[in-house]
Amino acid sequence: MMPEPPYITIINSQETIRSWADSSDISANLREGVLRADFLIIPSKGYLDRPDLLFFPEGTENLFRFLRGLQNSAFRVEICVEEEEYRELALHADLLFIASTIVSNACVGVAVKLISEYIQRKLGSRRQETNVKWDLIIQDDKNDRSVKVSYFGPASEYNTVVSQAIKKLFEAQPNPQKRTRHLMQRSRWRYIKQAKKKR
Amino acid sequence: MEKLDAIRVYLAIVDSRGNMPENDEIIQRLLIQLKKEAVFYGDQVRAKEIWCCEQISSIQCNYLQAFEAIKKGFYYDAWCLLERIEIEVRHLEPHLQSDDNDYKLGFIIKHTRQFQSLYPYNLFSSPAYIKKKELCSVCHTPISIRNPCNHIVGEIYDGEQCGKIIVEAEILEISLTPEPFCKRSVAFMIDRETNELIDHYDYSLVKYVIDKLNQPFDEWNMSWPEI
Repeated sequence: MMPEPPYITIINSQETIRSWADSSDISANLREGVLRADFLIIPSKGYLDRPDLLFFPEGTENLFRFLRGLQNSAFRVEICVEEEEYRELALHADLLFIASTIVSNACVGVAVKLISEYIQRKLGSRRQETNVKWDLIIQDDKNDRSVKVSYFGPASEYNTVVSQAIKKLFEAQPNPQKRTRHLMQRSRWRYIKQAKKKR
Repeated sequence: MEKLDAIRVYLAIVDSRGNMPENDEIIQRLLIQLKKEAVFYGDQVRAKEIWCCEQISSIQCNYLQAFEAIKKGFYYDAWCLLERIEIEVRHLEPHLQSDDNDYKLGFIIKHTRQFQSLYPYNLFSSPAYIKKKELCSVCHTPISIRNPCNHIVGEIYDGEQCGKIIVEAEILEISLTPEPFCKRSVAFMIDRETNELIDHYDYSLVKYVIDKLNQPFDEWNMSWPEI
C-alpha cells in the first residue's frame, strides 16, 4: 500500500509507560528501568494468524544502540522486553519500519529529532525513495493519557510533517511545561531590562 | 606510483576503458593481497580504503556486465546485476569521502535507477520472517540488545563490512508484493507441461533504450509524464 498525504494520523491512546510496565511480562529490575524511561521502545503485537506474537521491526537493535549511545541523565532510553524474548520481524516491503515508541511530552521534540537523525544515517541518499512507518505515543505526564501520532510516508518528508503535526497538537492542547518555559523566559527578559535600567 | 593509487586511477577511467573482465579480475586479486598486508600490519584505515576500492570495482563491473546483458537480451540476469549495484552502493555510501573521485558512481546510480524503472516487473514474492538468533559477522557473538559486542553493523573491520548472520529464523508467510525488499524474486509463469519458467514479460521499453545506446557510459535521461 502506497502512503498518501498528509501521511499522518493522530488518535487518542490509552497506552502509557506505566501501562506497558504493568502489563508486560518483565522482571522487577527491568520494570524499574521502564518506569524511569523518557523514551520507551515497545513491541508490536500480532501478525496475521499469530495474534499473540510480540516482535520488533528489523533494525530495532541498531536503533536502541544508537539511542542508548546518546542518552544522558535527563534523557533515558529503554526497551520493553527481556533479552531472551527479543525478536525482530523482517518484512518483505522496501520500507523503514521503526519500532513504536512512547515518550513523555517533555521529550517529544528530542525524540523526533533523534529519529530524524537515525533515518538520515540509515537511508542516506535513499531518503527520497524510501517510506518510513513510525508510531509515536506522546504521554501527558500530568493527566496520565496519551495521543498516538502515526507517520507513514516518504523518509524525506518525515521531519517536516511530524514536527508540524506535533506543533499543532501542542498549540491545540496547551502544554504546561511550554507555558512554564515561556514564563521563565519572560521573567528573564524583565530581569535583563531592570538590570539595564539600573546601569 | 603506489599500487593502490594505480588501482584508483584505473577505477577513475572506467568510462573510457570499457569492459575489461580480465583486468578487473587482476585488480580484484591485487586488492585482496593489499588488504591482507594492511590487516597484517594492523592498518585499519588502509584496509578500509582498500575495501572501498573493492566495492567500487565490483559496482563498476556489475554495471558493465548489466549493460552487456541487456544488449544481449538477458533481461532478468541484467535485472539481478542492477539489484547488486543498488545493494553495493548502499553498503559503500556511508564510507565514501566527499572529496573522493566520483569513479562514475553518480552516473551508475542514476542510470541503474533509470534502467530499473523501464522494466515491466510489478509482482515479486517476498517472505516475512522472525529472526530468532543472529550472530555478529566479525566476532560471531550472538546479537544482544543489552550486552552487544563492540562491532557496529555496516562498519569496516579488518577490511570487511560488519553484518549479522541469521542462524535461526521462522518464516511467517510469503507474500506477492509490488515493492519487495529483494528485487530478484520476480514472479514468473511456469509451463505446466515442462515445469520450466516462462519469461512472459514485455521488455520493449528496455529494448527501445538499449538499441539507441552504443556505450555503457552514454548519457541518457528519461521522465514519466504525469497523468
